[in-house]
Amino acid sequence: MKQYAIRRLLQMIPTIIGVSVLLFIVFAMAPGNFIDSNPTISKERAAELKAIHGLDKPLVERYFTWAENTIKGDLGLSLQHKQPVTTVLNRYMWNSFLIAAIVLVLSWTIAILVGVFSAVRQHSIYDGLITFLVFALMSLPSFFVGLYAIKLFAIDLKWTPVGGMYTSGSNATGLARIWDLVEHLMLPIIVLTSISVGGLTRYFRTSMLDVVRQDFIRTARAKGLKERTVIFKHALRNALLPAITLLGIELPGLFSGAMITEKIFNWPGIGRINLDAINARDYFLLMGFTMFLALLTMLGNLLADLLYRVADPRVRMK
Amino acid sequence: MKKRFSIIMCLLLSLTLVLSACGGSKEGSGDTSSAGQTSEQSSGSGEGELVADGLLKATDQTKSPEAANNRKDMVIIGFAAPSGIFNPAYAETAYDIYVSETLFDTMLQVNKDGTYSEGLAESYSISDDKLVYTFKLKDGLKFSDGSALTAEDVAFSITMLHDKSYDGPTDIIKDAHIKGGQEYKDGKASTVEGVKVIDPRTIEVTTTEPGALAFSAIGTTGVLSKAYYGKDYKQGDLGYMKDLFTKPLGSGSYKLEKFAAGQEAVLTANENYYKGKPKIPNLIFKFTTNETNVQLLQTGETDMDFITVSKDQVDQLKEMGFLDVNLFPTNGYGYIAFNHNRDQFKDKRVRQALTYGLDRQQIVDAVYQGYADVIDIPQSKESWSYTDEVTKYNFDLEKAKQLLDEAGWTVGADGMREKDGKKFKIIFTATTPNEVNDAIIPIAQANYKELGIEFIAEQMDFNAAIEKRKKGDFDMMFLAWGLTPDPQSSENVFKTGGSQNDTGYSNAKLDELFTKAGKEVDIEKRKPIFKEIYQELNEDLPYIYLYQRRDMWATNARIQGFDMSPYRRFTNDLSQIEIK
Repeated sequence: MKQYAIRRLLQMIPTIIGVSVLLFIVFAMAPGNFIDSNPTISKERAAELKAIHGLDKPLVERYFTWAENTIKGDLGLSLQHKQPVTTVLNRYMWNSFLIAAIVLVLSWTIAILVGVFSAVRQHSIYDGLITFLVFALMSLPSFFVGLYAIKLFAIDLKWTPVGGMYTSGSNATGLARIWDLVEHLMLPIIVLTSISVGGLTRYFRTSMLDVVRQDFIRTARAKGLKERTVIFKHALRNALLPAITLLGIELPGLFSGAMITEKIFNWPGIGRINLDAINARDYFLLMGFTMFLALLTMLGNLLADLLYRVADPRVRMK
Repeated sequence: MKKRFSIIMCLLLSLTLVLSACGGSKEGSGDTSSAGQTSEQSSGSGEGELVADGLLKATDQTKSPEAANNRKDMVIIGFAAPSGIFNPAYAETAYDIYVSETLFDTMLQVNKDGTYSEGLAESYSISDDKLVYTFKLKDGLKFSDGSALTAEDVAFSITMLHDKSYDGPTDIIKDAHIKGGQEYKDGKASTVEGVKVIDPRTIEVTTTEPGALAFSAIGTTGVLSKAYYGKDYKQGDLGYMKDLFTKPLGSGSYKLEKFAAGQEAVLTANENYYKGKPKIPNLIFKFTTNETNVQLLQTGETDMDFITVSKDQVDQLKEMGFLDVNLFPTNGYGYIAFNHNRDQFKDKRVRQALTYGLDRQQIVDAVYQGYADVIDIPQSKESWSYTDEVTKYNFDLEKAKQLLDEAGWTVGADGMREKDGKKFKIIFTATTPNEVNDAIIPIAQANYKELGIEFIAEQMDFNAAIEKRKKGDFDMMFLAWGLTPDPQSSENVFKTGGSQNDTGYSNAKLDELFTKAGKEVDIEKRKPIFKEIYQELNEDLPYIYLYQRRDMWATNARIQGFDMSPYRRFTNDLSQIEIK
């Protein structure tokens, strides 16, 4: 097990180097750059600025300078924010993480419950209704649901705030402040959860249906176990196995932010910072953030594989 | 199976019923309320015609939401999120500039027409040879921490802009030509020779050549405290400045209490402000997005916000009744550039024909629904340098055809124009997504087809289009420029080899006029020169000038005292505004 983990970790090194080279080339080749977009400065000044930020050097040299600094933990300076990339990421990423983590827990819980329920009663009226609702939620565009939810809950009914993270100008502390945060979290979480729960429900339903039809379930029923025990103890545990892979894939999603919903709900997250960085050609911020996500993707995969070995003895055997 | 299907169908049907019922009732209520509003408006604004400029006063202040009315000692102003660069030397986006201007003051302040008058300075003088600028500061100036603001602080603020490691957006060497500036940057001198402190209240700045932009460049440098920002300064290393961006110390009307990135900046009144402590003790800049800034005004979470102008938005704001809506011309203009290196555009008559032959009014109306003017010179009508005594290129296909004939582009057998066996074909590089391009392309295609010119659009991402422009690989292209208060900076665009002139445009008469205007510092002397410049630009048409659109601030009428213009931002009034 340990040997396997170490081998996998070592395998990540060439992958991450490859990814970084590819990203660096893609970003560098994208037309336009941050400095030339300022119309009020002279050509001499633009050249000076490029020299200050090291953008005047050849691409290969720039890559190695970047790689060297990154290994030392210095991701460079964001051109837009004029702050170290790590500072900028730190400012916004945790806000995105907060929403993503809550949405992850909620959507998985709901999806598992609903998925199992509709699988057990396959072809019933509930199954039909849930399937319909799930597909309806999946196919709605987030910006539409978001704006409509704001109109309905924030403006007409005045149940929730329009957007943001805290009420401006409130001096609330302690519990009152946490409640303020909860109120602001409500709408984005409802919208994001209802959008992501759809796919997951389908996934768990299918996986559950597969398991329920297998021989060991029939055996369990035949020996007179209660239906509840059969479903939740024997069937569900096996149905959840493939979900481990899914969980691994979700890891970078926790930190990547949601561009559209963050803009609509005015949430100070990393998604729209990333979008701005793309438009402004803020190379170092883009590189730093994308590399971070790439690393998380790889770690997520590794984690999923390791967990699979823990959870499923059949994999361990091989 | 059949049963299940019918159940789903039933569900679907009932759902559609519910949905359509919702839609119906909503439309109904919308109709009645807007009908009530229209009658009110038409009595308010005369004939009910479109008011596209100026202040539309609130019609019913009692509609102001409770949430806003409850804030007795606080104003919340919304705009898009800044990056958190609260330092006048480094702020680059408009939103960082808003915050910086609130926290820091300058020796000169801008007037509504783009001229300047005294701010921190009590008086100023310019020597007869137009090389030496002397500013005398007001008595008893203080930073917000109570320490004295002296000429030393001004000298430091100007000096640091010349530092080798300074990476902010100001290009002081180009704008001001201060004596010894380049030497300081190159490390050959330990001070900027031309910046001299005469006494604690007087600073003298010597330049190497007369420059129209020098006065404003020097006078609008944000004054930083030398004791605070300069204590760790070593020539050639300004890295530490970045750690102070969110811990600013200035002499502006408010001081920063708290900055929450992407959320808000909380400010309190500066009791040491030179115009007296602001009347509203607490000010919050709340960072909003286009998607919901109108809704925030509606629920009273903000008192003021910058709203993108469109007919729908203006109508919605007016309908709310409790908002003062201030519309003014955007400080910038949209244009279609010609590539002057291409043979077909070298003849002035062709450029004029393409301007006459394009229904600019239709394009502008399609995009801005009346909230933009078609322009014939590249300057805001609010500027002191503006002139109206120019040719109006109103849509006229006959005139366009005649001009093309004169230029030798004759109609061939297939109805298309050609000269020396070459067909007239225009490749139009269009950025996308862009609503103006979406209007230009079909209209220009139809208009130019009537002239016998083939107009082909090539759509691409903004940065890709800019790259093409820099390489000179385009025929015509729509873009927009922002304008500075001083018109001199448009020489970067129109002078031969100007830093932003990447269309290959060259006109000896304009070069001479810009040089002449650049050597004058007296506005009265510069006015006639600029009139000539704009007449020449109108005649020679380096661009097809397209439109000047509108900017809009909507303010809850409980806040009074703003006096804005395209040049004079709301930040100038923050110490004067009151809650009614």
